[in-house]
Amino acid sequence: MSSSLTASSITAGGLARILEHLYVRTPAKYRSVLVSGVVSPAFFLGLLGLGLGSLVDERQNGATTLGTDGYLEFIGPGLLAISAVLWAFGQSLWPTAGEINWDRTYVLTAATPVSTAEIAVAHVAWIAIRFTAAAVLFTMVLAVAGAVASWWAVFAPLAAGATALVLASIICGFTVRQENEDTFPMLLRLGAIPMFLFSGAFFPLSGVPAAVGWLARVTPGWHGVELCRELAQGSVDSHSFVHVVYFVVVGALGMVYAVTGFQQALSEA
Amino acid sequence: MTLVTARTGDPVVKAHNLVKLYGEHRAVDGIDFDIQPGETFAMLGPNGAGKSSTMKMISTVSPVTSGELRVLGLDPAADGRRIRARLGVVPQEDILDMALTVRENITVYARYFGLSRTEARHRADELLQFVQLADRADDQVRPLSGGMKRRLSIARSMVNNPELILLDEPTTGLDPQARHLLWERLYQLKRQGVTLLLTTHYMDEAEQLADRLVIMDRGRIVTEGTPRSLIETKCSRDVVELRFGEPALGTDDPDDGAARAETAAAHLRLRSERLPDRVLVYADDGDRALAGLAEHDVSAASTLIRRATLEDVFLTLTGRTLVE
Ligand SMILES: Nc1ncnc2c1ncn2[C@@H]1O[C@H](COP(=O)(O)OP(=O)(O)OP(=O)(O)O)[C@@H](O)[C@H]1O
Ligand SMILES: [Mg+2]
Repeated sequence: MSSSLTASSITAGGLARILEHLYVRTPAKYRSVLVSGVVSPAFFLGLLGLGLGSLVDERQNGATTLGTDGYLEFIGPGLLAISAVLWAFGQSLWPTAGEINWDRTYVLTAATPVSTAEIAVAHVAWIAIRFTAAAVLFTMVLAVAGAVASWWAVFAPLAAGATALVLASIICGFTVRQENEDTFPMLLRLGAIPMFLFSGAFFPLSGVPAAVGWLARVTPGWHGVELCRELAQGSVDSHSFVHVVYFVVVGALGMVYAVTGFQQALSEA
Repeated sequence: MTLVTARTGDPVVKAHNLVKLYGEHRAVDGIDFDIQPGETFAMLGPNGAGKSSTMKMISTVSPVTSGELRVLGLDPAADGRRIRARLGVVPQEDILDMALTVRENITVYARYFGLSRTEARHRADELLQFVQLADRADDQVRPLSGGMKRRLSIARSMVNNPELILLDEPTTGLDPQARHLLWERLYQLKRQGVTLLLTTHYMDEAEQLADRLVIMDRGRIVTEGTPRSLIETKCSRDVVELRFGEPALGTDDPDDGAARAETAAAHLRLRSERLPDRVLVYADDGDRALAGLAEHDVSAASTLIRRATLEDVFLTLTGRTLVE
């Protein structure tokens, strides 16, 4: 496994060719970007920001426990990062398995001069790229809604994109190792739902049991939520740097996991 | 259209003691062969013989477990990219991009080989012409017939002017007309000097297309040669087929007839093979053999004298039929 990893270098040219193919073949790509970037944040901000938020603000404890001026400023950037989490789970399980086992176009791609490692990286990158495009729109919606307080927010789409990238690499690595799709619902229950609830997007982790809090802190979801919030608020400090280091390290590990999984899956396909 | 072939005299593919294991299972169990430039080489064998596994190792997609393999003089483990740049691959199943049109299936693929968008389009139209799909260029792929999909796969495999094309069961599942059209295109490629490696279950396909072939069974090469030489050396010229139908008025068991035929053949010093529905008797002169059998009181419901085929070679060597 390690020898094949070193033998298959990753080149920009190879990645570009695969991404071009994915660009051409992805159906309804603009629609999904619009839905994730505009429709869903508008919907959730409306629902949570105005509905739930008014309850939280009325209790007069918003500013103190949340660390932001109001619930909208708290939940807005959190929602951005949580969308990355949902997107990564959504794209990395069934659609990825479908591409490997059903469409099987990667089997052909593997017979061209690109390497299997490049296929894996491009596949994960394509998931993250589409989300980043949506995140740009999402951040603009947040700005319009008044949930953004700093120009640092221009980096928020990248932070959200990194969240999607890191998570997608891990989940895709998992997916390509599965014999069938039976394990996917379990991953949603044990992975997606807890990460959705306990990444600190909707309420601060100070309110949950310490163990749950620490568990949450090792997930990409929590780092994404925190980093997006720091960028949107302009409260960028050493914590933010820790998140970036986390994404680089865990992202690199995730990519190795994805690449070796794709190599295994495609060499036996 | 010009297809460039390196005529260095070195083999295009060279395998020595090549092995592929899937877990404990020996899918390819130590095979030796080489393919010369410009040659059409066939691998014939039943299901599970190891044909596709061998193809996947040659296309560098599947790692070699042990033994030696050289493709275009290069090592698949180290020079995968360079080898793949010069290969055409037609997998056993038609893998087509259902999200794209017929033409896009070729242009998108051409981009992987470094063609510009204009070149890719030009090349796609040329290839669609070649496989007689030009009028379907802008159609979706899904509604194409099996034969059309196969032709599209072959056209796509040619985008990079490959020196070697790997065709895994190019005509399985096609009707006779579609098969003949494909054979004709493959002949044309062969005339242009492209080296072809094809696998097939069909002996007539191997006889039609191959300059040389190996017969594989359970991961091993059973025999190797030209189609003619194999039939001449491993088998007889003619084959007498005897069928024993329903016993007449319940007096005679059909098994008796078959058994008697086998004994009679043995007396005549002819080799015979008993299949569920018939007995085959191998003879260089089918008419004389049939007359001899009649003298031994062999009376079959129907008889047929035909030329031996590679199917008979396979049956002779393994005791089993190629296509169940
Ligand atoms: N990815 C794989 N994992 C495990 N076993 C495999 C795999 N691919 C093939 N095999 C096994 O290896 C053996 C050879 O298979 P292969 O596909 O090479 O045969 P084949 O000659 O191409 O057969 P067919 O005519 O049915 O296509 C078979 O027993 C098959 O079950
Ligand atoms: Mg096969």
